Amino acid sequence: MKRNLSTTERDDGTLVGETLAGDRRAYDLLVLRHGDMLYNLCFRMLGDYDEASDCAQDAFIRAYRALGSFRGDAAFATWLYRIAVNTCRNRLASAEYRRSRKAVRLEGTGADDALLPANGRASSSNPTERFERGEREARIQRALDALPPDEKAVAVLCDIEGKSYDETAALTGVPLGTVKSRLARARRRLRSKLEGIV
Amino acid sequence: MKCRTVQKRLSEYVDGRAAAGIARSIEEHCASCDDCAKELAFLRSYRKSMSALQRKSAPADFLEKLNRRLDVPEPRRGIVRTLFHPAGVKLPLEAAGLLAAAALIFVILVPDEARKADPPTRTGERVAVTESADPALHAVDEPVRPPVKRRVPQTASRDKTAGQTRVYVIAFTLHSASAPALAMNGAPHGRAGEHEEMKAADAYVSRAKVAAARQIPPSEEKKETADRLKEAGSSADIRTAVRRSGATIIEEKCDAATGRCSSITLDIRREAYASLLDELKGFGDARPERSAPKTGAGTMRIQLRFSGD
Repeated sequence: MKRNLSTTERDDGTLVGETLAGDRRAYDLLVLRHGDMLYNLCFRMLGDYDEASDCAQDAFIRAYRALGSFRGDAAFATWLYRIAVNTCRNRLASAEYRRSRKAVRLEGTGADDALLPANGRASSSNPTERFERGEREARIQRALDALPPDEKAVAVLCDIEGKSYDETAALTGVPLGTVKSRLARARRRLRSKLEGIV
Repeated sequence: MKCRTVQKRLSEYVDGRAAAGIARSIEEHCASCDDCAKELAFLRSYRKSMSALQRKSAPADFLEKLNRRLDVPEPRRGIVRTLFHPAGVKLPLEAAGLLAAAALIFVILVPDEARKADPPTRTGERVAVTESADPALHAVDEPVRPPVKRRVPQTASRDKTAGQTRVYVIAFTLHSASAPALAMNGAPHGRAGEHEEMKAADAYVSRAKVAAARQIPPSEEKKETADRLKEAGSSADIRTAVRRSGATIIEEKCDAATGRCSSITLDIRREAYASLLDELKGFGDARPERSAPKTGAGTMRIQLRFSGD
């Protein structure tokens, strides 16, 4: 996403206030600041670029329309994360999404992703290395996709997004003990698919 | 520590969330257990790989597309969304069905709050309210609204549902000697005078005497009642007793052939209910099917159902 607007001048709270006062450019700044974070989360949850883009936009739209209810008890980013997690979970649960994923599985194995550099930006210029990395990431993503949505949300938040157990509990709205048990179960499932890859 | 316990705790351990004592036990166990050591190695490698996954950036046109969507007015809530997503909460179809069934059962079994507030003696039988000169009965005839919506005035009956009157049934076993007090030749109340009633009582007592001569003599109590009925004149009649308690007779069901009445329907002020029962004591055993409410104002409708001793 192009960052042609300065996003560092004002903090999130100020930008929220300005958005509520009717300044749409302030919300653009918030989108630029948190867009990549939300997009990455949605991609890891959904395993598809287009779905991730739609879902991240949905989350921003929901946040924009509910901005008046944001009380500032938590950080704006945390609030936004929570909306995105719920949006992704709803999407994963929707019949339409399940049908589309089934069609993708029937059409191919998702190896196309392995051939593509991540979001068109490779970290290595070596094509072989790039391919291997892409393939490994695609297999990890497929293993993640196979997880039940609740376990996937916890694994993505803790292991990819680097959230603590407490933050994950707050974002998913489940107790701390549930976070621990879901994470342990998710890792056990992933082991059978990722042994020798990671 | 056993392998199973270690493997349950390994996930927390690699995240640095295991307590110090447990962490030490895990380390000691993994030093001597290949399987658990492999599991631990995988988890460490896994965490490293996952956190090193390339972060995806939003597409270049993300903001532009988002703004286009933000400019579109929010769609109106459709009927499906209104029904199954009340207050933005997704309500599964099964839950919606269950709620609908519960609401239906509630409506069928509990039609209004009056039944709950005033439950005791309804028999399910309803009769149309007939005209009467008694002002209290006019109050009964008033169209009624559900009690939730308006406070029922003290003078109005509370024994009504949807414009019909609730009937409290009292099964009444007559002493045999009391039978003449009820004989009316099927005439509605008011047409038979007290003189006729006394004649009927006399006739009954005569028949009782004949019967007593032929069969088993009546008990002392019944004889006394018969004597009292005769001596007491008009006051011995059940109808007179009913009226004395302040009740108004609405309807009588009598057999034209035998002259015996099977039931009398009456309206009475609720506060006079106890005095009605007192008045009826001398004629037989009254057994209300359910006890009538002891409090409250207004008129209640009672049906006395007679049977012989």
